[in-house]
Amino acid sequence: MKLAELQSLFQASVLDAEPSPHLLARLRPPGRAESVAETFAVYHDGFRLRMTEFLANDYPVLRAALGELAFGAMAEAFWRARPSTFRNARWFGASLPAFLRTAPHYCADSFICGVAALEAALAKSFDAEDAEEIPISALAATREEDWPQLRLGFHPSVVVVETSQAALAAYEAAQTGEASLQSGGAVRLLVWRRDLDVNYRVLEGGEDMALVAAFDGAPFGEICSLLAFANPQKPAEELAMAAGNYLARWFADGMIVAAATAPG
Amino acid sequence: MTECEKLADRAQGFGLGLRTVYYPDILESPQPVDWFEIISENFMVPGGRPLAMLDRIRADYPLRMHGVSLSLASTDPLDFDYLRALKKLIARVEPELVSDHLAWTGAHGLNLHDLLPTPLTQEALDHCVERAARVQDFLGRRIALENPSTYVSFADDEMGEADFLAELARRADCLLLLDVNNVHVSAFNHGFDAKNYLDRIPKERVAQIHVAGHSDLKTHKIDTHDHPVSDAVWELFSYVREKFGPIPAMIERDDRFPPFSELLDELGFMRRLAEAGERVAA
Repeated sequence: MKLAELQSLFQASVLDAEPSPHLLARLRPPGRAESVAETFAVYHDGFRLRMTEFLANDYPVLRAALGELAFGAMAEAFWRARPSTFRNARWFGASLPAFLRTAPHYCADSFICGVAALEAALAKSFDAEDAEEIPISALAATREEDWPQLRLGFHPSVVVVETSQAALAAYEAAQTGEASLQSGGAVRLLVWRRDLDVNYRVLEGGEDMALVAAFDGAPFGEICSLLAFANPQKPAEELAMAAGNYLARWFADGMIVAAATAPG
Repeated sequence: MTECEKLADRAQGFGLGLRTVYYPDILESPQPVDWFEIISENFMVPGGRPLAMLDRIRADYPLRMHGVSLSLASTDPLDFDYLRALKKLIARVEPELVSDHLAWTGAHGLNLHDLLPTPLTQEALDHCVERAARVQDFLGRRIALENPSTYVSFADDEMGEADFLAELARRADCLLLLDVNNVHVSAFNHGFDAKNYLDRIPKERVAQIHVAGHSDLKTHKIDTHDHPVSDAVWELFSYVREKFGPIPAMIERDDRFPPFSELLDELGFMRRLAEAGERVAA
């Protein structure tokens, strides 16, 4: 049997529920174990343990929420649907939230989907690319008439994620060791890294809208227009002030790495 | 001894696998560890804490890089995205040694994230020689290949693993990373003589030695790195030191982590054993 055929057979025997008798027939009897199936199990069972462990490393709160048995079943459903094509195991579990959102057994569970989304966002922010933050004083030279064209560049670690109040409470309870009883609807979080530490906070409506627009490259003037469209009852000056405050906070939080007034 | 000589001396000495659980100990104060070995893939990330910690520790210690995803023996094409990322990390770390395994990790584009055994045939040898040479050409440096722990062997095997590795190293002009625990585990699992295996390894190719703990399931042993090094492995290590002389050596620990002080004690034991072996050899 050629090397490529043998590797195909070996791999299939690891992934399938039982190893192929054709493969076992091509293996030498082991030194001491009763059967070659017993030693092949080191690869077969080890693969399942390893996939579960990779996911548990990235999703510890999800594992605690599901329990060992259900987490193991979810892990197997995941690797069967999305087997790893990554050289680095770090990326294997990154698409777990996307899988859960579409998997019939999990998609209706906003808590489980929310915990997975939150932990994936934290992991993504943790080792996102480095970039130098700039201070708000970088805007000092911006002329008044140029402000509407101002565009911001965000730190690569900035992530906006939709989760649930209950998922957030479960995550926070896991950090403090306290029980979590909170329930509630959807909540959107802003996640970012500063000084190597990952931070998060809940996004309220106005800031959420402004941030998503700014993140997509909208200039400051367009962000103000969006806020005005969403809040027709509020005076323009108040909305401009709110937009300015959001912007100041993003700078203060170290999330801004570029600012330019050139037309985009 | 000049600073350069001291650094070279440390690089020849005794190391540990760098694991995040030990960062606080390593960063708190200077440790009696000559160098650390990193798992390359753990630092093939865009940025953040992993690379920042790597740079801090690199400032104080020589590093060696050990990969688990080269998939040298796979019949899939070489993954040049992976090799580019590896080369970038090499440029950042400037390691004493870059190593990976005689193994494959998947086929048909999949990765099982395991070090899977290769049949010891002429076809597999030719395949590995060609790929090792291409990897070295791309990286612009020699790499060391480690003997894996294996749990099955193939009826079609045409040679022993030591002979396969010796020929691979000779033809590809690569180095070897001799994992003494893996020799012990595979010898037990397949019923070959560990010392005979070691006698067949070309010592001039051995650039580094690993020892580690394993799990003993009575009918077979598994390379788990979650126990202290066993007496049988220390005995083989002494045999290697007596036979091969001073080669950089380290302890791998990847689970059931003891306090760092215990790992240092084990490293101290390794030093004393090696020095005793050298006295005997002298």
